[in-house]
Amino acid sequence: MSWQRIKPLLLHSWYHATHSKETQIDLVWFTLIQFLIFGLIAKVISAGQPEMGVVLILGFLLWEIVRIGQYSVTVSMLWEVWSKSFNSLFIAPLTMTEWIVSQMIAAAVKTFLVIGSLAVLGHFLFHFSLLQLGIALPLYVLVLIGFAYASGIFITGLIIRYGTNIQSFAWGLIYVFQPISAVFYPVQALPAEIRWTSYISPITYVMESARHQFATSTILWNYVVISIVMCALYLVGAWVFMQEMYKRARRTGEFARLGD
Amino acid sequence: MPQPVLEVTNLTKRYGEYLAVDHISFAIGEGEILGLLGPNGAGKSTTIQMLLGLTDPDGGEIHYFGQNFHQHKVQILQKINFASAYAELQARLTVRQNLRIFGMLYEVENVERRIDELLTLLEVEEYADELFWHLSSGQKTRVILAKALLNRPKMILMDEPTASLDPDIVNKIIQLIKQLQVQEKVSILFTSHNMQEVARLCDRVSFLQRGKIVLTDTPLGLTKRIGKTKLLLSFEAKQTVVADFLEKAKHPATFIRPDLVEVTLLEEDIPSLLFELKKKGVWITSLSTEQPSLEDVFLHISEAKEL
Repeated sequence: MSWQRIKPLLLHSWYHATHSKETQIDLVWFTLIQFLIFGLIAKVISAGQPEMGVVLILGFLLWEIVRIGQYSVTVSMLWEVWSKSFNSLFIAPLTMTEWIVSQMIAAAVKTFLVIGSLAVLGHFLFHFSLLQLGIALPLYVLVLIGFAYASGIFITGLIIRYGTNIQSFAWGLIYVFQPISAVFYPVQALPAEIRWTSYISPITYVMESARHQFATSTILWNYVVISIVMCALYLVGAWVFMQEMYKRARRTGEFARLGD
Repeated sequence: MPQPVLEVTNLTKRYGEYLAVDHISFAIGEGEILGLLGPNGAGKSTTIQMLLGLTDPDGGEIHYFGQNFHQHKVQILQKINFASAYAELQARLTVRQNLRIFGMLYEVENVERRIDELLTLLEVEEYADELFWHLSSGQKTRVILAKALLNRPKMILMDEPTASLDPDIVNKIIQLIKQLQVQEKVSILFTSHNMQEVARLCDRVSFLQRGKIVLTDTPLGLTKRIGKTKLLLSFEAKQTVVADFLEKAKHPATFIRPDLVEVTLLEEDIPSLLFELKKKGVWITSLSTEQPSLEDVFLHISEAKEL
């Protein structure tokens, strides 16, 4: 892996983000509008139940870390496939690892910029501060962005293997995790029969711990550790899966036909 | 013998039951242009995809500059490049931004100067700041060619690089390719459906048929193998007299008009044919001959005829 080749891909990502209105709307505009809606709903609810407002904004911001991170990793590849330029990149001296790592870095930057701006806005508009999460905040972000990478890499693998037939997974598949990851409500709110599904998502542990922190000012360290370990396992699994799909697509000739 | 720039040995690719590329072997020397021809489905695209590392072969070996492609892929890709009328760059980036990205990937020194040089050479400098998707297909093809020359490659794979270009630009591109061959000793693997272009450019031509190389020779050598010449005769006589004579002499003929006929025959048989026609009182008013072209060879092979 060479930094000399990752650098131009980061520049590529920057050029694309500045030219593509679609990317700007998907990442900035939709997120901002939704944040304002959630913030206003939270304000109304807070009049009767102050803690509920916090749950809503907290859940929204932490979930968006996952969504934006995953979207950035996967859709950046789709933009190349739609332009039929993905193959041109791989005719140059570039490895799949360098491509994925560059997209992970670009995704982290985009996520930081968008969520950072919303967090500042939230502080002024809704008197909500993510910084209240203190020392645990970087660990939560690490798990959430790590899970975003894992799902982004997994979906990238699927697209490499099956092409644009399943491109809607790039923005839709992550939502499978939203209802089971205790984003806006505790695990206990789920029917008992499906509660176990929550515990296969590392997001659940982050959300539960973050809410617990806002309520009691204590961190659920065991949850933090579980989520980090789980996230690492998901990342390794997604990486192995993507590499296998890449190998298979090169063997079947589908990689060369990607975008045709 | 000097080491070939590209050496392909027993390259094979199978898609399920279908054998797309069947144990092909060939080599390209320094500064040599090899044409790879064949009808659709012959295996040209699959071969090129394997030579670029986009598709993994099922068997055989590819060596560039004496190095195994599979083992030294990144180092080799640094020294080769690819151009095709069907290749694309990122649509939402400008021409210059796209070329800058590739220049950085290839670690080109003075990349901005090199981009300017190539855009001027290919007469697309005025589109440098246009988004790639705003360009016409001919302009895109020229930008792709600029990309293919960015890293001063030692070997270029060209898959129909002039398709969709105007004839005057095609001419310039062909001159440019010749210049690269002569001055910079660039080796080129060239595919095209334009046989005139292939005949002008290629030192040797390999014909692919159902995944196999069925013939390799110089363009002249290939046309000589056909042997037959087309003779176009206009005459003053009854059509039946000429038709009967040609039928008896077993020369395949097509009457374009009652007084104009195209005869296919060996070049050395032309004088005797003219002499015999004169003896039958046929007055030849004009004649012209057409040597077999690479297109005839292509058609012969596509129709699976032996040469």
